[in-house]
Amino acid sequence: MDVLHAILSIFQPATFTYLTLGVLLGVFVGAMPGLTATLAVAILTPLTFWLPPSQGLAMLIGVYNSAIFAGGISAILINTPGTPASIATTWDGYTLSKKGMAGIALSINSIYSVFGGLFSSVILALISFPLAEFALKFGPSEYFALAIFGLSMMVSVSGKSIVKGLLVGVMGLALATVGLDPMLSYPRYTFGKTELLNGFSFIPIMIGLFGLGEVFFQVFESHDVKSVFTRTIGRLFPTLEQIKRMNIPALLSAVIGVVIGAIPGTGGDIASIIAWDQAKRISKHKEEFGKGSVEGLAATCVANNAVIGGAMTTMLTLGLPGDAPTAVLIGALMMYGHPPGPALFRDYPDFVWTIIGLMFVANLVILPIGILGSRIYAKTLTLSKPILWSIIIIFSIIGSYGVNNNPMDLWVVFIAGVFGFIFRKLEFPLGPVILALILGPMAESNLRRALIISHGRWSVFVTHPISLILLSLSALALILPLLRRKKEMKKNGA
Amino acid sequence: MLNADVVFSLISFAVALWYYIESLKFPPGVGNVPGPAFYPQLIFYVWVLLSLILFISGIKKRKTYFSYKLSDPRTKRGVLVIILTFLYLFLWGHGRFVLNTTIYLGIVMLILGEKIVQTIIASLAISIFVYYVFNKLFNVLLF
Amino acid sequence: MRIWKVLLVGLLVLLLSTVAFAKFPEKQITLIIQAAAGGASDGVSRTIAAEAQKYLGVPIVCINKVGASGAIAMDYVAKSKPDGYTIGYVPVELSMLKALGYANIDPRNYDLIMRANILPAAVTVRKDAPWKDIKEFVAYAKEHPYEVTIGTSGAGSIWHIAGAALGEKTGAKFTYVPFPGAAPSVASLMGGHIAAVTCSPGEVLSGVQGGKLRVLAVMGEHRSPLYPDVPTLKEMGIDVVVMAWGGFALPKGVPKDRYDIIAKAFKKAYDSESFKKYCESHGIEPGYLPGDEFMKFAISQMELYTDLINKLGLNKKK
Repeated sequence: MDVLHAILSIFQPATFTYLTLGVLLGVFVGAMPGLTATLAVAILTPLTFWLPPSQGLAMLIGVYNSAIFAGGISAILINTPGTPASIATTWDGYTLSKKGMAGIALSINSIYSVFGGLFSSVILALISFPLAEFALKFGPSEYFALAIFGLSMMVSVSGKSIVKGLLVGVMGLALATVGLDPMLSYPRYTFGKTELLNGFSFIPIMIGLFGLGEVFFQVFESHDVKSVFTRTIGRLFPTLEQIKRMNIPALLSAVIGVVIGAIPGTGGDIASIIAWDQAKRISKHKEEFGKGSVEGLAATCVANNAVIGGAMTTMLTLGLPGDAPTAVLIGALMMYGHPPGPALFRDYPDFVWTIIGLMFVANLVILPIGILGSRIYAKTLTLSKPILWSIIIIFSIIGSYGVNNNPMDLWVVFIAGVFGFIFRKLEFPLGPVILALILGPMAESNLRRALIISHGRWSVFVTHPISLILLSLSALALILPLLRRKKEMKKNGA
Repeated sequence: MLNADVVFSLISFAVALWYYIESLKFPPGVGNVPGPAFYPQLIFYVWVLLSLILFISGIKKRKTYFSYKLSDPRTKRGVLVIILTFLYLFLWGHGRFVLNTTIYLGIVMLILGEKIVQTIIASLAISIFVYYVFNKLFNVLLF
Repeated sequence: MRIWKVLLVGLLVLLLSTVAFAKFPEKQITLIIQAAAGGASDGVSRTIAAEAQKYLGVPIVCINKVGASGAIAMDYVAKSKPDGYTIGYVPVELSMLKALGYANIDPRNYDLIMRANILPAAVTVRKDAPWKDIKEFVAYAKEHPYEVTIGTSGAGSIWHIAGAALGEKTGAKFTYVPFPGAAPSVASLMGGHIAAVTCSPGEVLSGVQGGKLRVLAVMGEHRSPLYPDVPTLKEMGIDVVVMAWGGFALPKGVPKDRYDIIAKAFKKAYDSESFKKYCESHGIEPGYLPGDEFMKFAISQMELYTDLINKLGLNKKK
């Protein structure tokens, strides 16, 4: 009875209206570089205090889901991820749109983001407690192994030149060590500057490398500036054959997304990168990845939205944030007098069902709004190049600054932009830098944390089963491509 | 012409060396538990190794990436856009945001070859839009 | 020449101050929050701001200026024009950052408006932990030096100081495990990777209500309203009080009349129903102190933490 009542309540006009409002706002905020899903949820949270729980949460859940989805729109159209969760969407999405297939890319983003969201809602409804228990098994040694597993993908995101990829990757690792060290809070490479105590923020670097760097590169390279963009949007929906190819990677990515999302402290950025790499591994068209693969694109779109259900699982069952936006959502739930946690399921089951129902409906609302909204954003491609470039430059700068209101970030995004340009010119891939910035600190801090807990016994990394499995997989990921290459060389030689 | 791979690997090596020397000042770890210096030093070894490999392959390949000539109009406008962006950021906080941004975007658009009327309309519209969205809607601290 | 200059400046000041006296506030006020959106600092600030703007008659715009443990925001506020239009939220780090050697932040560089809330530390273990109370916990740690792991929210953070003070006062040897914030340390405790956590009572509330965690003691002056059955350390004979707190500050030198207007509005906001409700639902204790007493308190806290931080060897300026 609870379930039915809860789900019916969602279809009350007011609730549905606020949900749609949230989705609309999310599409706007998510596609703006620098305006993240976390920010969108945070800004709406105080507004929702005047609304009853089901309506307030409808708005928050709507904006959260759609902002993550919409981050992919700008990733596809202008190579600038709207939120960090869409970083991997640029790899295939932007390439597709450069090839004149933005239409397909955008609809894949809409359809598969919704698939990811729906899949994760099903998981949330069915097996939230076992999943959360599994997520709790992640202690420092498991986090370390997960980070290493992610870092092992540097090889596969390096593209043509593995050495160059690894080199910029290592530079990214070094860059991420600036600031207080994660264990003793000893200031490293800060030159005694207070501004550098927390290191460089990730978002300005990401926006600089991808957004600003791409514009600088095009300004230096484009011959036909004066002409209007010749880029067409192309076909609007993927072909049946393409859909068939995307099915299995999408399912795999959905599972990866939910699990990574459930693990506290890891979010859409890590999930979509890992999903992209796994999709590549099982694909029959590996060579297309990074060059406009629909499978790769679908994998990233599914994964970052599937993270939401996973993160909500951990939040609702344990009261722990699964990622940054859920940390803000916890505050909203507390405000409603329903602090999340096991007690919530026991004391207010209909409240929990309302949330799960809202997740479903939010994703269903995203589908039409997303496809329509993407078409409107795609209109930017019909602007003249100087105007479009100016728009990207100013949004990159102000968006990066807006995250923390820290003037230093203005310079970070600028310098990252110049480096993004130089790296493109020298044919250095950018994927490894992003991997390094996200996972480097996670690897180091958890290595040291695990060793503090184990009192210096390094064996913890192999005696814990999850960490052993992840580390073995990382070793395989490093060795297999080398073996394959040797085999190919032999074949070619013979 | 510059051999970019070789130059890059040399610069990278120099930075890595500085990175290592700096790490020597960090306190050591206790017993088996690594301290703040452990991880940077690990990075250093890999870094140096990769710089070396790139150096060798750069000498072998002799590939040039930067074939820019300042006489090329594309190079000129690229350099100008970067300098203008630098100036815009340098003057951040002086004057008024909408005015600065309009002037900056306007010059950038003109350099890139946009027509004058479109430039004026677009730069003003974008600046005002950015100001309203970020400052009024999302409370970003602009000036 | 000189006399003319002095006269001119005097005239100008007079002119400006009459203008200033005319009406305050006449434009929107900016409230700088040192932490990211969504946390306790953010919540307290936004709740108070939403109420205070009703009494001030102008909107208060909240801006999150994150970085360097709040040093960037607090430094920004200290250097702002003291005209009453820039207000800052100041957390316990106001009294800690200088001692830690991070930044030259000192309560004396501000005109403090009021203290709004306090957050005593709580020592939490898993429900199935072998220790019945804090005494057994400490006794066990004394017998097994360094075996008991306590999760904290980062070296030099207030919750690390809390755990360290417990060890320092009782002579028990703990192994402190820094995490990036309280939530990951609580997750690690629930997963059984560490033995205990020191953090605010609210941050373990859902774990306690869900029957996964148990609070052994709180480190405030009196018991926490969230856990009326849990004793304070003082009650258990361990004389340690460590708590985080938060309040509001203006840059030094704001005209007295403007200060009074703001302080009055903030006090009214503090007394409001919505702030009360916010505190209750988030496990935050309201802890009002007027500006002058808040200053005395902040300075005494600064002395306490300087002493503790030096004893614990956490000062980075060597």
